[in-house]
Amino acid sequence: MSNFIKCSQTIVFIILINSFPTFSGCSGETPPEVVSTGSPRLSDLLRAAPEAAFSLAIEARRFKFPQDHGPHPGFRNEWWYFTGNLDDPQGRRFGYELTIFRFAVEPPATSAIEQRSAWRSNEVFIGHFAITDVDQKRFHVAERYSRAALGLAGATRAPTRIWVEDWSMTHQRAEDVGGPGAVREGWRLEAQQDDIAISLSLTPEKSPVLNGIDGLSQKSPEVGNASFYYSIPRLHTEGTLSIAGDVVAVSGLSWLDREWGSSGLAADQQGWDWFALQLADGSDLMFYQLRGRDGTADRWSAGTWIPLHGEPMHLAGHDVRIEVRDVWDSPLGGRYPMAWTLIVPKLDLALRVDPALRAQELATAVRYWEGAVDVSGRRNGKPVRGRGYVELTGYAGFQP
Amino acid sequence: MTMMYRASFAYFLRHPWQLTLALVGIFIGVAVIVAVDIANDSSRRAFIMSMDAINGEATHQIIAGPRGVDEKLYVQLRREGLRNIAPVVDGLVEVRGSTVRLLGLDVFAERAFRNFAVPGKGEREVAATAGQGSGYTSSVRHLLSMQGAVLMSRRTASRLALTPGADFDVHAMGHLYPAIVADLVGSDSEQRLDNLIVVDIATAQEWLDSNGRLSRIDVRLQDESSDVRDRIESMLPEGAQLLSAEGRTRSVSDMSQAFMTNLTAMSLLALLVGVFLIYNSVSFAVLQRRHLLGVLRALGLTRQEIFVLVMVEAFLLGTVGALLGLAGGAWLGERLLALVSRSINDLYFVVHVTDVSISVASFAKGFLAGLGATLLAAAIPAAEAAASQPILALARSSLERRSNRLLPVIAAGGVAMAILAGLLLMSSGRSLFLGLIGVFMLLAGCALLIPLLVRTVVRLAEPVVAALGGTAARMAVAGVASSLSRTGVAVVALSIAVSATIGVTVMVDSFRTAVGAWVDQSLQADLYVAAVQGPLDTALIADLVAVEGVAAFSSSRRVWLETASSRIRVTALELPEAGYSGLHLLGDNPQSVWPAFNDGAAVLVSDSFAWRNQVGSGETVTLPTAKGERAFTVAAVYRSYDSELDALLMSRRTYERFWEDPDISSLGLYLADGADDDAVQRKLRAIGQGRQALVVRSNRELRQLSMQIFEQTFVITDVLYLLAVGVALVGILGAMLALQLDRAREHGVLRALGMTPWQLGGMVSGQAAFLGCLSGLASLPLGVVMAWLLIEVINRRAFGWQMEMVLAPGVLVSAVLLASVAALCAGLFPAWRAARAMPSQAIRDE
Repeated sequence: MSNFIKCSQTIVFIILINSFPTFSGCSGETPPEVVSTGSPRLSDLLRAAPEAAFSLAIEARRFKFPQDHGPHPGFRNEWWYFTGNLDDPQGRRFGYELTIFRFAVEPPATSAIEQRSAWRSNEVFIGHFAITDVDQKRFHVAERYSRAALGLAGATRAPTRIWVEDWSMTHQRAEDVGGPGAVREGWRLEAQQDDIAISLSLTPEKSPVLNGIDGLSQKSPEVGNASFYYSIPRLHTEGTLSIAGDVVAVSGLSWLDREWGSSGLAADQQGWDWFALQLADGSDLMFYQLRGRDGTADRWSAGTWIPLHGEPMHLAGHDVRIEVRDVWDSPLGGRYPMAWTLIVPKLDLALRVDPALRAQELATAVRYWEGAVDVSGRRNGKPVRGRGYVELTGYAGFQP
Repeated sequence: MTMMYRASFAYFLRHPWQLTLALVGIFIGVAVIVAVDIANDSSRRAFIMSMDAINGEATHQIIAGPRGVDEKLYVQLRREGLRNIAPVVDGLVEVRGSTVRLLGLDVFAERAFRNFAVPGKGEREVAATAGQGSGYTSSVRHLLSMQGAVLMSRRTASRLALTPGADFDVHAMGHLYPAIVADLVGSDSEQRLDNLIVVDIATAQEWLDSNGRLSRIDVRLQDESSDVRDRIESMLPEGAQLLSAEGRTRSVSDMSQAFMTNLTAMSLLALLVGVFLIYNSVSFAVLQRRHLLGVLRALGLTRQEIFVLVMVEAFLLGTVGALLGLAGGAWLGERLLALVSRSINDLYFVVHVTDVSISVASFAKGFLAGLGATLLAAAIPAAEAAASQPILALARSSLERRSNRLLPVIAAGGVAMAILAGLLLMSSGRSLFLGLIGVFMLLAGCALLIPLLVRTVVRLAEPVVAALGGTAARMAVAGVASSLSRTGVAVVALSIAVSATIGVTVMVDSFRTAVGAWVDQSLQADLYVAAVQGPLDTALIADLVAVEGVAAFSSSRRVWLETASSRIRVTALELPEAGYSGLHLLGDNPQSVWPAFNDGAAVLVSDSFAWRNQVGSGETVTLPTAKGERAFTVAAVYRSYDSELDALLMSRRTYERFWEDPDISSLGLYLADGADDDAVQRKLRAIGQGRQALVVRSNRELRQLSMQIFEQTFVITDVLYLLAVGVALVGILGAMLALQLDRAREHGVLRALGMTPWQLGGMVSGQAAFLGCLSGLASLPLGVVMAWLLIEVINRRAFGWQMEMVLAPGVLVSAVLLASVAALCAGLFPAWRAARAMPSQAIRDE
């Protein structure tokens, strides 16, 4: 799920969206004569609510792939969220995150502007890129923004490609041309900034999994406060990763989270803890726990259990119990939970989750923690190990 | 010792007006210097600050030809992974009758550049305030999503009478666009954001009609020799260049340098006159106490002690006067600033100066000049007072005798100095600074000749005057010569001031005549049409030239080309043959240049361009074209008094070929014989109606407008030389008062012998008028020489302009009249005092 809420917050706080301004002016002044057009005054336009014009996630829809990997421009928010655990041949361990958010400032344009500038765009793309160097205990982060204009940033459906300047995610459809020319479906990720870079090829080992109820993920009782949400829980990953000019070949497992909608966080929700855990026996667990402003778990928390074979199982908030075993104080302020035990009685599953490195906080415009974790525990009485990614939001970020 | 100082203190207490006069002299001199300095400094600073606000943290800028940079270059650089770059589209627009700079930015690229695009200190603060419904998130959102959302500083908003949320109209490129104040940025006191409105880059492109183009790409390089620089340069297409931001700012501000140097010269002139005045006042204060000083000497004070006494006095006077001058200068500077910045706006670049910046340096300069001049002025009388024998000091005649003996020596010094000045002027080549020094030296040299001149004239005039006006008149005239130590200086001061007025008036007259002729010649077409801002809409042009009554037309496109070190204004002309005579080509066979100009890609350069860049016809100039740098042959030099000094002309064909720019800035329309001027104008305006706001002007209107701008430019010159004359008048007043005091006893005797107060008053004021007349006459040759120097040396070196000297006799006559009448006025008060004095008191000492 990652970031439904974080995203909204990021954007609300960094740039746009959210509540409309109450302008203090506009009164008492004689409006100057407008000679040119019969268009309404801009101040009137500003007062019109735009939300109505965005599509809302209200009822389940039929997902189609690969089309749904591409953008859904009628919705306000959307993201492509890759995380993964990688190793080099010498066993040096890394984590990475590459995320691109799409945000519509306005519903898709209808206003008639003569001689439109190519810079005019209703969408902003934001990229987050992080590498965790577990052995060196270093965490590298980069962030960028761009409007979807002139090819600076954007998302296309066929072929599916999402990019912010020179960061990109490209989907490759399977091409069964027969013989050795056949191409497997997969993704290419490219990103570089300052002294970090990745160039990775991802091949799905499982089909997309619909989260929530048939892909509709309700976040609060309010109608429309929901998103469409699917994951590809397991992608085999190969490629290179470089830190300060040191290029290493890496391989491992990635996770893709895809979500789109038009709503934000409910007023009484503070943040969430999201777990995406890949177990060595081939099964995967995704669970997010929404937190109320009072710190308690929200009943709209949910997850998905994806066995190696067979149908994924929806998990409701009450199906999973999370115990926090430790905390971490960010040097920038804020206290994060930092070690957990997840207990899912109906799966006979108990997992200890520990960070590969504690300092995996992204000091981006809105701070959050997103990091590689180690998993160990028991399932059906047998020991099981694994790795994964955890995301923690709402613990810091808008206090200085 | 203390007794001595007490005596001198008491003296000044008893003669407050004398103290006042000395202080006023120093005060005015210092005030003028400081004021000009402040005015120059403030406008330069305002310019640099506004450039800084616009450039932000950019160290370099990518620019291309007249149409700007292709926006695809920016996208390419970004997608190649270059981070610290930001696109900028800027231009001038009009809001509520004021011209303001429109800056179009991409907020996402801005974070490394201009902090005002992101109000507050950073994202954290923004994040903290956004939740509380502050305008930030919404304003950035509106900036992005809505054409017409504008950010501006609080000061700019209040100047334009706008508040957040207020609707207003923006006039850009002859079109009208609705806009709204989305939010206010920056702190309340930020001058750098004055006159600037910020919009999203998309809005800026739409308003400025530059879709697809950027004005520039701002670049921030960590260090000059970085690989990034090489990488960028390797990616630049032909015609685009990476220039240092600082260099670009400098080359723009250099344009106004000559103008400011001339202002500084004016302030030095005021100081020069001020120094005379200071000398006058201080020496008077010393000489007035000959008696007292003689007594002190007789009482046993050494020469050294006397000298020190006078110098200490001068030091105190100088300090107080200079301090007052600083305060006065600060006040006057603010007044002058409005004039200076208006001239700069008219001539060079649009800058909005709102804050007066008063630097320690301006103050130090003014203070030292004032104090130094005072000490210098006091040193001579101090030495004199110290050198005198106790007994002799009591007798005034001995002093005059000595100064009379000195006259030829002083005059010889003057001649020597004038010769030196001549040599300096001839050998200093192109240096404006040395030219100014030469002019001042020449002026000073001539000034030294004046006392001798006065004595000679008096000797010649005495018998004539005696025959005409009797004893009183003879006495008045002779009195001038017999107190030359006093009157000489006054005459010199007034002469210098009057000659400066003559010089400047003649120069301005000549200039006006030359500019008038030039404007007449340049305006060959009957009507001129341009868009209110920016180029004419292409679709409109065909309709405009097709109007009935239009026989032929010319077109022009004005653009600025930049290189690393200069900015050149290029005008691309398409001329009908009737328009050829609009250019005054210098050289032997001017008409032969047209074929090369039209077809051979040759250019014409203005005479100031030729002078500044030292090129002549047949040589080449290198210009940055759309395909990289290229050399162009100079076909000829043309006369121009354009304020844009580096200006050149080329044919439309050449321009289109090398710059690939189809835009046209203005049209000149030649009407058919018998066509109705007004009817055509009406038709032209009707064509623009609803399409593009047009400015249609007849050549007569344009001429008026040009001359109006010309006059405005010289308002400041007028103000400065009026100040110089003011200083000189105070000098005359001082000298006349001194004379009157000197002669109090003599006047008492005359009164006792039966002269009436009226007769005596008449004699004193007649003497003043005579002094004034002498000064006026002396100033004539001096003034003419000065005018010649201003035209041939200063204007030429500063601007490269050439003009003929126009000498109207009226100027000379009125100069003499001015000097006489002014001196007469200055003499009225002393005359009144002399007439009023009780003879019994005046001769009591005898």
